[in-house]
Amino acid sequence: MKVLGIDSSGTVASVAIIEDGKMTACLQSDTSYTHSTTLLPMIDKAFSMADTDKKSIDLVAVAKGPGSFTGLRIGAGSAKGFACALGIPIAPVSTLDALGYLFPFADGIVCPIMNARRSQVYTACYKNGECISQEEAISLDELFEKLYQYEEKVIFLGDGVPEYKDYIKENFKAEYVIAPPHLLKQSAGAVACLGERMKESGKAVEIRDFKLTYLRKSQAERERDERNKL
Amino acid sequence: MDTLILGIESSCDETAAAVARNGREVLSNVIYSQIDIHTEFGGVVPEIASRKHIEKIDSVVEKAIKDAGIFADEITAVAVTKGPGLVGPLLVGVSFAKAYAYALDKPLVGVHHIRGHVAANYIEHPELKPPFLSLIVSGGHTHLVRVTDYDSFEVLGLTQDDAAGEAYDKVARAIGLGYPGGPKIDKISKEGNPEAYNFPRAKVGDSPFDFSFSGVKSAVLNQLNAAKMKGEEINQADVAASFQKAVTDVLVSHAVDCAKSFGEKRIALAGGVASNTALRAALKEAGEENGIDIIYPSPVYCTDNAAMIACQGYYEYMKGSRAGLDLNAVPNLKL
Repeated sequence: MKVLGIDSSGTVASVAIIEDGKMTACLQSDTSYTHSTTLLPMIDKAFSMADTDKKSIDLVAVAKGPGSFTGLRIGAGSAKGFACALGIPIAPVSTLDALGYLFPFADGIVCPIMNARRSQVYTACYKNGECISQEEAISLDELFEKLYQYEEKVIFLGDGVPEYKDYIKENFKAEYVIAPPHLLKQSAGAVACLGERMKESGKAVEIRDFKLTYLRKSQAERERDERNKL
Repeated sequence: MDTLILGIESSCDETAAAVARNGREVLSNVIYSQIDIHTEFGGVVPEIASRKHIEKIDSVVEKAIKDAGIFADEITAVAVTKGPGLVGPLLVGVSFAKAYAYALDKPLVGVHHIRGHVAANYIEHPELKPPFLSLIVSGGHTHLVRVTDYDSFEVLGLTQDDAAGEAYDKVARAIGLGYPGGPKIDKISKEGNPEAYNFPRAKVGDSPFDFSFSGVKSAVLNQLNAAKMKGEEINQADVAASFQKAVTDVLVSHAVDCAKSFGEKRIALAGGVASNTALRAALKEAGEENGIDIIYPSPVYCTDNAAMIACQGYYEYMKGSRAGLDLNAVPNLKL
């Protein structure tokens, strides 16, 4: 099986190709360039690096969220366009699951935190490669309370780390480590691997059934809901 | 050999795809309108629009291909609206179109939304060829342009403040008609007296073909305020009809004066407000008086649609225009 993996849910743009268990190409960039100009050229480059015919791809695995709303849609738009043209399915991979899968065999709790603005992070907890909590947008203090209950060492990663590193150092009262740069942020390799697993277990979907997971309503809807409460 | 262009449009609140043959013949025209979703917010909410676009884009494109009775790999090229418009919605169409064209090894053409509106006139007027004059009126744009070639446009006049359609929306909200303002004002105006109020017809300094609609909008709001202070009832239909008359008078006189001074014998009306019945009638009448041929598209091609993008895309494709994989959305793209 040949899988194209795409993640543009945060500041990283990442593309990978996996062919029968071998990662034949993986490109990653974390710059100020916008995903809309970089992502497709990266996909093109990945195919030429892998020396693979793009039309032979069986599955597109893409980060379905949470993450930057616009970033997610650039990834999803590209994934849908590609899959629609070739008539192949999509594996919608949770951004947090893919981050957690960077440390599938680690001792302790793997805790990706993504910058969700409004003093919150998108987060979930993983142990032995499996998600053991809900995905949610919460404050770091709320997250810390949940983490204390596991009574285990915590591995923090994700694009929330650079922003909240000092806050964690000053306020988190349990043992923890921070992921090194090469395992800190989104990677399409992990998205592609999880996508392949989803396909094998029948969880890949037809394009029309693919939905993004924002974990948060638009501002206009939140304000409307507030008004309706009054 | 026929040239089949798949057009994709997502610049505002319509997700649209269409297939056109040789820039003139529409084989399919699929529009998913989100208007009902935005009505409760009193206007288009960009984030909600973007979310709907990404949800619908694949099924809209697949239906356009199916309705055209072709297979995806039979298309010659993909044309997509690259701007102007709302950046979030535009990015959905651009991202999808790039990947779709790339996967099929087809060329990609980035199309200017306003050029698309002008091209909507080619669909039902096979004899129409540049050069001609075009008046483009919509919720976001008010332009008077000379179409010198299929891909060459000379802007002769544009609005200095609000677009005409924007003024319609604001006035409609103020008199309690709600969103979208254009069709609602058009409808109720039929029951009103257009001479009941004398709202201003603004001229813009030394540029004879430029527009300004913030003055007439303010005049309406002042009129409503004054009536409220005095405890007077206002007649919704009279206000709407008088406002509409003020706006169409300016649009029509500018367009006709412009045609006369450039010796143009034909004006093509375009854009969402081109389906406004009062504007169509007034322009047609002024055209007859001045020996100018007035044309406009059917309402389905006036609203945002992808058939117009496919048609304009055809001409730009034939002229050699090609977009790269780094094509980006340009929200304030100049004509």
